[in-house]
Amino acid sequence: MNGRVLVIDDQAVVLSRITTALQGAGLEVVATAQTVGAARHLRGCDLVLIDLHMPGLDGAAVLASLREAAAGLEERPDFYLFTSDTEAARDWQAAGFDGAISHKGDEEHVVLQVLAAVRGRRLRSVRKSKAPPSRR
Amino acid sequence: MRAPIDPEQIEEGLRRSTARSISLLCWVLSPLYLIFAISHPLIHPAFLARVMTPIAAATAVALFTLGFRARRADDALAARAPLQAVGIAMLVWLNVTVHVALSGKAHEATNYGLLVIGVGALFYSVRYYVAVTSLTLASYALSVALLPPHPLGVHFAFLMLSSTSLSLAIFVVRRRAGVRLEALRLREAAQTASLADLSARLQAVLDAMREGIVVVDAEGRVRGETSRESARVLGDGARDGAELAALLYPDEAARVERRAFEDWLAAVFEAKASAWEELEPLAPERVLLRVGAGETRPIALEFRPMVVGDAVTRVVVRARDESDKHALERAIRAQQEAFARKLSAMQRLVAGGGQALVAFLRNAEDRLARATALLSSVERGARAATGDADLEEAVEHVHTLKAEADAFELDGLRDAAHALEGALCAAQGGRVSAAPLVEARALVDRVGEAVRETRELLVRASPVGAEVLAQTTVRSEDVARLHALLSAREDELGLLARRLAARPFGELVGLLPPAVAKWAARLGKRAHVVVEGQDVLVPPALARVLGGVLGHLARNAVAHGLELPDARADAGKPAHGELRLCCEASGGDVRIVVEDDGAGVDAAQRAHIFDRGFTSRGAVDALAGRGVGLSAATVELAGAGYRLRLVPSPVGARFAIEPAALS
Repeated sequence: MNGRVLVIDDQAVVLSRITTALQGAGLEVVATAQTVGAARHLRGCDLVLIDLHMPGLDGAAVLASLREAAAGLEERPDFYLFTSDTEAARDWQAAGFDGAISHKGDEEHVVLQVLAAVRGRRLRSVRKSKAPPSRR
Repeated sequence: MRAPIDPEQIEEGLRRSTARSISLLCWVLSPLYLIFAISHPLIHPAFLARVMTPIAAATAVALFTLGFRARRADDALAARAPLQAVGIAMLVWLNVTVHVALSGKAHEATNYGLLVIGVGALFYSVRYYVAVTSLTLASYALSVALLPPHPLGVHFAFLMLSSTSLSLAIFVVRRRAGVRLEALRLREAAQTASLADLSARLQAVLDAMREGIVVVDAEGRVRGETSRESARVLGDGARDGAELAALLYPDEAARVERRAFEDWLAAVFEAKASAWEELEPLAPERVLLRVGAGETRPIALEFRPMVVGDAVTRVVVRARDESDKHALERAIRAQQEAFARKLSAMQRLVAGGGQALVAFLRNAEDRLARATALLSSVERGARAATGDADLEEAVEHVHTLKAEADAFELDGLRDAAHALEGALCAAQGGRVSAAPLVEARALVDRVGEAVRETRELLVRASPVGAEVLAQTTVRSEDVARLHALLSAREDELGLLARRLAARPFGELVGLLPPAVAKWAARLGKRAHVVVEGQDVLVPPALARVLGGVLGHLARNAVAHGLELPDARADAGKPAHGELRLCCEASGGDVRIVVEDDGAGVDAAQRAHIFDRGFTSRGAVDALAGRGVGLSAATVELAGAGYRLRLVPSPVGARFAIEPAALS
């Protein structure tokens, strides 16, 4: 499946492993530990995975700034909370995300979740294109 | 097309239908005749009542008995039903006939009319209907003929005519309807049996497929038959009515996947069947089914629509347990990685000369042979005199071997030597029985196997094949001088000098495989090189020019011979062109063949191919086109005492490099 994913995490090891795993599943991956300037990678992205709890960084602020930057894009990506904390994964809506990718340390599981999220996004697009035109 | 129905089956069905009426009819008529039996003495003259009362009473009893016996319309009773119907009709006929005969009143024949109508409403059998109706009409006719005329006789005659017509109409209509209903019932029964058979066969097919196969409806629930494997692959919950999304994603942690799947399933059933091609790629291909605490089972999924008109009515789901495949892939990946690490380490060693490793292997073989001999000596019983000393020496050899193996990062060999060392130490001092010696013997074989594996790995990693095992570091000037001084001699010294100066073929062509791939890519082509005879020694004169000559030939093959991938596909060839470089020892010298599987050399150009300035290529580029390469190769080879020939080949072009003396 084609798809472009931006991963923002402060741990280089996590970025390296998840990049390899997602690329192996046929996805294009942009991985960065730098929150400053991450907005320039948003164009063409389907998903943005953000680690909310990065030491010294405010994940919520990163999400807010990226959402603001994405507002100007023709196709806005979906923002997913990227976490290994299953409790935190339940609160994705309260934290302002579109969904949550859990089990961060289990690449196989993460890949299946990311693929499902990309498929879900594609499906929305297909359904939208097939929906009858609005009467207004 | 409808299957034909056996008429006898229809008659059988009609008999059953008659049988179902018998009991009811008897229950209705029996009380009626009981009333007749009671009423006769009250309303008829005594002589008539004396005869009719017992007959009516007997009829009531007979009908009651028959009704009781016929209350279960089983197969045996069904077969007798027409005769029972005839029996009922005869009882009625008897009552009517005796009554008419005794009363002498033709108008009493009204009951004949009722009997005729009743027969039409009871019988399905043409034969019995005709027989009973005929008997009744004959009885009526007889009564009219024998009894005194009655003023209303004509009226009764019309009554009988009307009754007979009505009876016939009722009989025909009932029989036709009965036949049609029975045919329908039989067809339905046949279809039900056929469906049951199909269902059983479908189940057998599903079970034979050894996959979890379930069918889901628009609500995402499992419906109908599931394969036997379904419960094993998807869990015991994979039954009729189960929600598939809950089976596949029971875990809260899989909410993203579950939501995507549920949305997909909803979209499939909402859309027209023609949208399947667009939606199918968005279905999940794989799921990790949680089967226990921290344990998962990889399941491959496939979906197929069941279409009615332009709507998807069901989706067939095939689920395959890939646990074994997954485990195998992991094991293979781990082995490949381990092998790649070993090969990489070996290539680093070879790149550094390789002589140290070659020397180590020789020493390891010597040490192992010596340790084995010492062990044999101990086993033969020489232990009493020198046993411990022998074992001690064997331990020293093995210990050194282990240390050297560790230095070369040969983990397998090191571990085997370490185990052997332990067994030999255990056998020292006669502390234990012969068991450590037996173990040591087995471990000697394991160490020997590890040494052989290392040799094979070295040869595999070497660009000169097995020849690497014979190499030692020498000064090339010394070798050249030795060759100059001694190569003309025909004795062993001359032979040794010539062999010393020779180079392995693999060493001379080592740079070509990556270069050919690069040259081909530059022209939009694909090519790879196959080298055979890597360890054949090439005489020094030829070795000096061979690199350049093979370079010319390889560039020509890429530029002129090998086609573009599309053209190769059209010709039924694989996309990658192949260039083969084969070297074989021949009569104390060598013969080298360079061939490709490209388009070959045009017959008209064969005669001029080695002419200087001749080229088959229209344009000049960095690769070829000046018409210099083959000409230069010929001249260089001639200077070394060799010649270049274009030899016939069924596919592509084939060049041979041979000693000029052969011509």
